[in-house]
Amino acid sequence: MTEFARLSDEALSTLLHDESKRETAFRELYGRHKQRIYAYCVRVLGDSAAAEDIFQETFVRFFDAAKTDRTMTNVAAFLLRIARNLCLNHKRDSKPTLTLEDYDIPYKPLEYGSSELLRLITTALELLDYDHREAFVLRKYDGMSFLEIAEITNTTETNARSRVHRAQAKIREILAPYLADIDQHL
Amino acid sequence: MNTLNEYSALLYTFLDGDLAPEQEIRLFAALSHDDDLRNELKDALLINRTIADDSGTLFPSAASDEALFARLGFMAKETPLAPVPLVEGTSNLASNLTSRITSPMTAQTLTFGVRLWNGVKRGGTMLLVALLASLLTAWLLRSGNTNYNGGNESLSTFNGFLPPIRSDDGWGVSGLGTSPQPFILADTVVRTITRTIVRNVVQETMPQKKQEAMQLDSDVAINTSQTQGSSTFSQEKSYSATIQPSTTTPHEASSNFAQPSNQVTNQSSNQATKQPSNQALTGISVSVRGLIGRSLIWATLPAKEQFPSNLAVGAMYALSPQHSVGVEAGQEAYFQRFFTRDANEVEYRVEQHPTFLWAGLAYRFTLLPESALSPFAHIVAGATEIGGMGRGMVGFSYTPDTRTMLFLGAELSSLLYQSEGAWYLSPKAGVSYGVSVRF
Repeated sequence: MTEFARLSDEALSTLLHDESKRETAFRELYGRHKQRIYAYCVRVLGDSAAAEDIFQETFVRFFDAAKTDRTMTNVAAFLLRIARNLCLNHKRDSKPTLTLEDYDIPYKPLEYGSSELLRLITTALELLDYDHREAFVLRKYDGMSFLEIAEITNTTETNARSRVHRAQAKIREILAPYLADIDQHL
Repeated sequence: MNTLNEYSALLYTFLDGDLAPEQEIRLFAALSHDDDLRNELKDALLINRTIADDSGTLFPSAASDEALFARLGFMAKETPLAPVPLVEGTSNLASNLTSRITSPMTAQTLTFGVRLWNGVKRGGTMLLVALLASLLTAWLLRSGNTNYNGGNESLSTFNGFLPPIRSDDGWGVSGLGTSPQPFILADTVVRTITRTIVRNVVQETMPQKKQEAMQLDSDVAINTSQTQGSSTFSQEKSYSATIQPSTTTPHEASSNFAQPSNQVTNQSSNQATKQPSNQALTGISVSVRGLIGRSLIWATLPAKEQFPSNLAVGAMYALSPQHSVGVEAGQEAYFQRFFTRDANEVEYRVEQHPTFLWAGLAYRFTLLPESALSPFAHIVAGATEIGGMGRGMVGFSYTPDTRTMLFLGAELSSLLYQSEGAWYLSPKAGVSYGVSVRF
């Protein structure tokens, strides 16, 4: 374990002000948070190429902001806010996504494996409206509490919980024929 | 979105671990008689488990990491086998070949060639010593392409090419003036080891050879006094000597394929000089050759070469003067361009230029074995760590004497490898040059 690995996020963000330690501190912070931010971008956007761009842009903006003298008390939340804003901008600038009513997943016999089920789940996730999808991703992929989700998404804790539960129920509803099929084969 | 029914809401809250005890009782009571609710619980657990597995696999690629660090102006780290971003552009053939020609390994091969030339006159053991010395020097210099400054030679840059210089004792290695640089240190070590081996190992056999030569001299003297012109005599079973007023050419000697031969040249009155290493040849030869090649795929990345790259060694057995078979092994960089997918099913075009060890069976056809200069064809069918490999070379060989052969040829080779079910070829073209020593 390196010396930097023992430091807190806050201490590392302070070291970003020091040019001689900036790179090492950033690499350490990047290693800690890249998975959560990447998972958020990929699953919220459902577009790997766009997610890759936004993921990188998130850390570039974080680096630019952190180089200044400001102290960050919650690096994870700061990164997520940047990523979320970029994702919202991308959503605003992109074509509207299909709604559940005008989208139908073609049914075909399944090769039963976790990768196939995952593909179906991610497809179903893309069919949710943005708020529900985001709340679901923050809960399931980033492991955030409902209170944290509420703070990030500017809503109430109750509303955040409701969004997550509805997203879960909707995903199950979309996948119902497939899940029944899987159930018969297991 | 639709509002959840009461029990579904309880179910998801239960899965979150936030359900109050009294609500749990209500939920479990409902689960006991509601098949749909039980199915919903089962599906929710399956979805949660699948997502938990997925979240652990969602990582940005190494290429993404490096691209980000590059944007931030950080130094790139080595990621030898990770997908790398494509770089448009062309490679410069001249600089590519120049860099290879000036590599320490190539320089050492050239140095070895000159040593070999000297060593031919001293016998096969000396050749092996020279080979070992060259390889040792190359190993000591494996970092290569090092900038050197200093010394009395106003040498500003050293790119690995070391002109071979023959010293007084005939076994000097390449030098760079009196500059106290790492090369000189390496050179000194090699020189010392070489001399030690020569004195302690090779020269142990000298008295016996001298005795043989002296015996030979006396016999020659007797026979030349009795005959005029050419005559032949036998000295035990494995030696014969021909006394010739005129000098024997190497071509004539080379035509005595695998035959015991001994030549004595009558240089002046009753003076005969013994030629080197005239024992019977076994048909086995050992070769070392350098490879200068360029990928026929339009490579845009520099090769990641490791010592000893672009070098091959082989052992051949002569089935006849024209046909030889054997084994050959080497190390060479091959450019690869293939497609792969990451955990998110994102397809990457990967370009890399790693170095592979290869080994294979070799066949050589020499068109004119009696001639000192002969066309030849050489093919190798073998394998690398990742797949098959084939090589074919045509060129010319020069045989100055019975033991030594220098060769130069044009070579085509290709690596065959697989990625995610698809097969790829990585062809190369280039020049190969080297030496072969018969035993």
